[in-house]
Amino acid sequence: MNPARKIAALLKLAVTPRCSDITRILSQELDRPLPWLLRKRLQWHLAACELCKRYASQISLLGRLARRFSDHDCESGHTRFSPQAADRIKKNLRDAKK
Amino acid sequence: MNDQAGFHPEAWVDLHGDVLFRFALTRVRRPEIAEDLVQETLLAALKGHSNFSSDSAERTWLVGILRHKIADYFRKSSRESSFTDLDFCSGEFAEKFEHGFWNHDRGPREWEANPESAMESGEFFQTLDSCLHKLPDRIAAVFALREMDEVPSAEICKNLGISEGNLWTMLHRARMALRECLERNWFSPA
Repeated sequence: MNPARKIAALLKLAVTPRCSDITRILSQELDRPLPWLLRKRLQWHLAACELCKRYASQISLLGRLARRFSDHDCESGHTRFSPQAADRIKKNLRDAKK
Repeated sequence: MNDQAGFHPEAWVDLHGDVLFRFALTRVRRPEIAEDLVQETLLAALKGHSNFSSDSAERTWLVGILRHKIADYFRKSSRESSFTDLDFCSGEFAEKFEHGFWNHDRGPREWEANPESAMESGEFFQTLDSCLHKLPDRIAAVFALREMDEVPSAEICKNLGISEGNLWTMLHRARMALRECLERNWFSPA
């Protein structure tokens, strides 16, 4: 986005912080440090909007759940390596070791 | 384990194969690719096993190698075709908003089920898995890199050749869709 469009978008948001914009910014907040003005707009909006506050806590929880899923799935998941793939890899490892 | 006579890398397949396979499968989705990545990982481990310090757990070491192999695979795929996906969920659940503000009947509901107990439940993880499978491959891949592996945005963009703006849009839509799916199927089913 060019700087003029960026400033226009920021100004628009400063005037009319809509929930649909806030959801986008809440997601970005999980991926980058927000500029000061955007952070302030977010805080002001959240102070007044129960549903955006709820959305914020749910997408932040989603990250924790995804990390836990990854650990859980690796250690206790049911999907197994196919015996054919296991045999093939063992053979390749034996050949490579020679 | 570095003693050549007693060193049996084939044992890695039995000891760690399933874990490595599941790790790769969650990220690349296709079983045949996941199998190849596990093979590449173990062959690389065989070459580099003299550098393995027994202070670190063998599995952690192998998962570390696998992460690099997965990153290489994504990098290669992104060179063959663009990794950007702006089609998925392009409406961004517009029906949930009225003039940009939440419609109170359709907005995020309070989650009834306790998230802490969800994290202890195998059934919950199956639900999350099926929600993840509803995402298109590239959306699921960036979500896994960012949220499961906590790779910084800039690194994901550099590796996959996508702009930060497009990455943020893809992650935003992934989160919206997953939140909605978990709400409907676990936390507050209608």
